[in-house]
Amino acid sequence: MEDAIEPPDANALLMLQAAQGSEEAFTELVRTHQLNLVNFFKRMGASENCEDLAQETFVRLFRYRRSYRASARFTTFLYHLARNVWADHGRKVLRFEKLTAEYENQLNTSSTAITHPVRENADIQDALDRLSPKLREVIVLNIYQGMRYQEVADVLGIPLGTVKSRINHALAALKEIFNEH
Amino acid sequence: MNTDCRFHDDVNAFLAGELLPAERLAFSAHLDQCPCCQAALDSSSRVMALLKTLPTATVETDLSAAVLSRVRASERKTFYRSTTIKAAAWAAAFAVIAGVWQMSQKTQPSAQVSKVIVNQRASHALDWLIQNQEADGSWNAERWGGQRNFAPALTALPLLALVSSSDQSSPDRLKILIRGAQYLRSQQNPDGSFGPFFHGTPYNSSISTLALLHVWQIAPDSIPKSALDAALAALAQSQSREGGWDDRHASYSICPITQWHLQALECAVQLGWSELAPSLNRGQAWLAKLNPLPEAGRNSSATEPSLLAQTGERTQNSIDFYQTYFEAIALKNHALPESEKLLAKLHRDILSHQIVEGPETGSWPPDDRWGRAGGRLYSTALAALTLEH
Repeated sequence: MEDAIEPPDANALLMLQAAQGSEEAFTELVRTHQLNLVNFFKRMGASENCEDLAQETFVRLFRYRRSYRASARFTTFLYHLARNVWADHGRKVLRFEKLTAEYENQLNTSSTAITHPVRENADIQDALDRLSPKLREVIVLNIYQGMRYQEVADVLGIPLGTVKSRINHALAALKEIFNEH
Repeated sequence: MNTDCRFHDDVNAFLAGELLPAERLAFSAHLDQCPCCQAALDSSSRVMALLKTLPTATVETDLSAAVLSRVRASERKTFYRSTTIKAAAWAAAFAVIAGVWQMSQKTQPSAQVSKVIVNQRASHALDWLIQNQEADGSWNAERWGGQRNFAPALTALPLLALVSSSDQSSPDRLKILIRGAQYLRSQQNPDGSFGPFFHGTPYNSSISTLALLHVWQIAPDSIPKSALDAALAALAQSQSREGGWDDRHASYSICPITQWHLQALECAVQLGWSELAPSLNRGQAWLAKLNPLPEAGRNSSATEPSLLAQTGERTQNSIDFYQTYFEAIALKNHALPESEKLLAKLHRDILSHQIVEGPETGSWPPDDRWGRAGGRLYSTALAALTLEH
């Protein structure tokens, strides 16, 4: 991948203004990212409370506004918070940890053990829901949120190679689900 | 499919444009000669294309208003936990400890009140306040047993109770707050103070200013900033040389005038009136000097008769709403080992006095030593504020 000069991040500037007390800047950030955040939670598997989860993420963004450093991409910061909101939500419904444990077991037993039943023309959201949380989040961040592998790694706090590996696992599982060989 | 091919793991990264230039060249050269990788690439392309057909959800309403409402409520809670209160925390905490000790000598422990019940009863209190707001935005002091001179403070206290509750998203609630703020504005004097000039003016001015600051934080267009500038200037100018606002009083439990002034100043400093920081600091220092036994407080023997005598007369038959309010703040913000239990007990005591049937359901009878001045608006607003902690 070629190195590119990043354009000035308007979001980062707004975030710095918000940290200095500008409600207008914060409001602009909310309006800019609310749709993407709602879709993030929807694709992660939230049912009817996507907007509540997005709200909670923005509340945390405000709470931690002074922790943000312009050297980091704004979206990395935002989705790191969103992922934590999602994890907290998952813990609340006692689902996240269970699925994570199941996935860990699957990974430990075989790297090709994700063999969901094959189904032609499976509904896409249903297919995403059938991925383990760890695989689903790399797909959501990479494909739906448009993040490069490195940013996915930054958001999740994992090595770049792990992102690559999880995306390969996820796409392999999706090919199974979609009956794509 | 031949997954043993050493390039196989690069298929998806190639498709996503994530390979380094040298890796990309190598993979491209390999691809021409490897049907397995070609098939994998085609398959991944189809899956990626399929995934991208997933429809995008829409957002029904702009989230910014609800988010701002929540962060403002959160900021207010942070404010109440701030240093002004900490300056008096030990004093109040010991007052509570002593009070509870005193009560424990007389009564058997009763059941804890759940948070759900506390929230529900606090909601009843706010409902009572909302129902009794007058058409001009005020709360009528005399109608509810208070003194007319304290009219600004007795509108500001219900406003503070409403603005401190967690539910700020209702448009109706916002209208109530704005109407109340507009009434307070109508009571402001040219020098920035509020209400008639008498010994209670400092109460009227400090509590009204605090309430207006909170409403301004939520609805900045509803109050001209110049009105707040004048109100804050009046507060700062009335500060004594020593730093307090009423030198006649000598201990935390009977110096609420300074407490209200400091709450208003601290709120203002947080909202950007940084020039008031020196006045705030002087006031905090003055208050800290009143803090009894800050070191001895770490010793359980501090619950001696001297503290009990200072604590006042809180028993199951009477509540000092003023003292209880400041005790609740201190307990909430000072991590004493017994804080949670004491706060729960304090809530239970408060709730045992709330009217639960009849036309005044949700309110509290103003039967403490300040009740003749403040009436039912005072007792109900302060009890509701106490339950928010």
